[in-house]
Amino acid sequence: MRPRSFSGGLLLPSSSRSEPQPFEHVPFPETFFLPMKQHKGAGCRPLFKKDAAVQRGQILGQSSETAIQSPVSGHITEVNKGFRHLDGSITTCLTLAASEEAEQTTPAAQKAPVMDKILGSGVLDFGPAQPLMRKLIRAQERGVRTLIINSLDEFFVFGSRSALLVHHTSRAMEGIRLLQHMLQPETTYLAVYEQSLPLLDKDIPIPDSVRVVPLRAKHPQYKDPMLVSALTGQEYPMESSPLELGIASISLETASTLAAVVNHDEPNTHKPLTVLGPEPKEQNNVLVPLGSPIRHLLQHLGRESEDVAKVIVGGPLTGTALSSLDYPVTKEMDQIHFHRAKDQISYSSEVCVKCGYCVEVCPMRLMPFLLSGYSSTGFVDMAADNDIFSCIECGCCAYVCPVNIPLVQWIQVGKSRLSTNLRSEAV
Amino acid sequence: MSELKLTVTPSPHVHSGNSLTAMMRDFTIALLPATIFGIYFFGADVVRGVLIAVVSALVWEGLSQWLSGRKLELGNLHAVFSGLLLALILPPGLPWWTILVGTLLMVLLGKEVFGGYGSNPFNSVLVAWVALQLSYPDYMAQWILPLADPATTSAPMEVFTSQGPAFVREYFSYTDLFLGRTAGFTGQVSALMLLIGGAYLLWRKTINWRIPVSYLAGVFLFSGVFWLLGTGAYADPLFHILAGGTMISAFFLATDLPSTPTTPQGMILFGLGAGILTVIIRTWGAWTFGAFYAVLIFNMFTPFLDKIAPEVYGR
Repeated sequence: MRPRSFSGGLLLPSSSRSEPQPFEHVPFPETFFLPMKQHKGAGCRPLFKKDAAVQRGQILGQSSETAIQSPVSGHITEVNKGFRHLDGSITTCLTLAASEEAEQTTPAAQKAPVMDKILGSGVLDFGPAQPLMRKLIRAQERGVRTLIINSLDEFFVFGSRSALLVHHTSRAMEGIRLLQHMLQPETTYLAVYEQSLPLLDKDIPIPDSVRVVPLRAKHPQYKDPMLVSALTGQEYPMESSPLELGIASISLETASTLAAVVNHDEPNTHKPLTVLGPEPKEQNNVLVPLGSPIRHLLQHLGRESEDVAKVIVGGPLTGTALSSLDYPVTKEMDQIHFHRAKDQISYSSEVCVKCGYCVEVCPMRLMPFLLSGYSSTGFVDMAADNDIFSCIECGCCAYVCPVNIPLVQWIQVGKSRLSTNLRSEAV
Repeated sequence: MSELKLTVTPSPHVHSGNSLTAMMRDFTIALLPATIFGIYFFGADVVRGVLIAVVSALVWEGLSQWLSGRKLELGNLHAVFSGLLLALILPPGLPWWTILVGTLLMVLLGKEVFGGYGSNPFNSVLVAWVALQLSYPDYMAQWILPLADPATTSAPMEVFTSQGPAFVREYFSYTDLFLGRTAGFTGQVSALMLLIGGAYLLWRKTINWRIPVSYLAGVFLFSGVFWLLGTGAYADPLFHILAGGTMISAFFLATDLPSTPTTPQGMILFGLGAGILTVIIRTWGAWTFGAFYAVLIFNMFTPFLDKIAPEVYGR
């Protein structure tokens, strides 16, 4: 089958591996940090105070859409109300010390409706991270004709999502069946990079109702707009969502987690991650206990070195740089990159030479140099006229720019100025 | 582990490594086959012309940036590339002071007055070329005789505009035109050498295929229509492709970054339009080198062509 694609974008670096590395289990750390907010949106209310004893799998924080479970049995040693989340907002963070007899029994399974299990284990969907609960309720309200299961990792052919697909196929298929049961779609697509297609285990049959579609390994194919257009040929404006077209796009990781919490009553306490660097080509797929400090992960992998100069959560083109190795692994992460000082790039204030590379690669068919130029010179209204809010900040333009203009940052500046203007006009 | 100092920056955190310097280096490398052919064909005097042009372009640019208190941008190699390109579209044996005037106009009037490379609305090399053509028409049409034995001492396009297409066929074979065994500008005569350079640029992805391909298509199709109409008054499309600077326009002049469109549709229209205008100027106009004038004139359309934005996703 010819792989599908979209216009623009960047070809992913080819992988030196022929298949994704199986997951390596990272052991429990002694101390866990559990932020009560693990996606962009309202956080959870902590249910315990300092010194409280908690059981593995017990709900530590709860909101109307999601929850945070305890990864181990232990007791809470600190309640930090000034923890800074990745998006810059302040949230509460519980510090948890694992108890001695830590290998950790799981509470007995309870009979509970599926939605309660999803809510109680706080399953997130990705791209951007949001509670699965919210997405499912909206999807059920709108009615879903097409379900897209997204197994694509950002910027890497064989990351953690493809490891879930290739090495844990049956668990993923269980999750897909659950989603099919809940959403009743007419068509279900399983989007995979073409390199993963031949690796799918022949022994574990993929149900006939699931159409496996190979996609060319390009950035940002994993994002919903590119996925929807490549699979269905439809497009939707960015202020809308695929649900308006009757399309629900759900991550394969979400499907696997769903199968674990619904069918197997496992607590949602581990996170599949792709870890890269600091040496180039060093790549691991790991299962990390949620709440482990990133320092613990680095130590376990034996990568702790003075070379680490930058830590990025998320992909190399869209991720957020962390200021401390004490930041814990949270549900919203999918990749962690360690960069050396010499890997770092610098941006410039040089003049755009109008080469048109950014226009060529923009998957949203925008003119990034124009948007950036309008934003940097204060003509934000012109940027709005040129659809600045359609920009998905995938980073392709800044990646190819020969004069290293920080295009994405200028576009972000333009968007935020416009939003501020709109807010002040509304007052 | 002691407390590491982590760097925090916004995304993206990686870059392709592409740079303006690398692009200009590619452009310069791509001009080397034509330069070497020029030296072989017209003699060692070409080396003098090229050196004067490149060194003076660097000096003028450095001076102008120093005097205006701007950051020195000689490192991006644009002065080297544009100096070489200008030398290649001047006649061999041009007096040294004419070249100096040319490079001064190229650097000052072509780009520095607009704020440096990137902000110039016109191709700076062509600005200089046109200024020299209008100021010193006699010098600009004095071909020193090539070392080899050329069929005529006039450039093929001169023969075409002054004597008509029948004489062209008499004097020049397609092989002569393709290999460059004719009188003409230093680096413009050999279509083959420029094609090699153009192929290198396309292979390196330094230039987009749209402008050269649509420009050549514009020249070929438009001249082809009139050729098919017959009557012998019009030159055949192959002649228009091989002679008169079509190749150097397609790959090196019409692909100047700041003065040409950035959108796919804009690039195609720019190429087609400049190609058609090239043939119009050659066939019905007073100027011999329509290929250069057409590109310069079409630079004016670039801001309008850039208005033809691609249709945004989901709109």
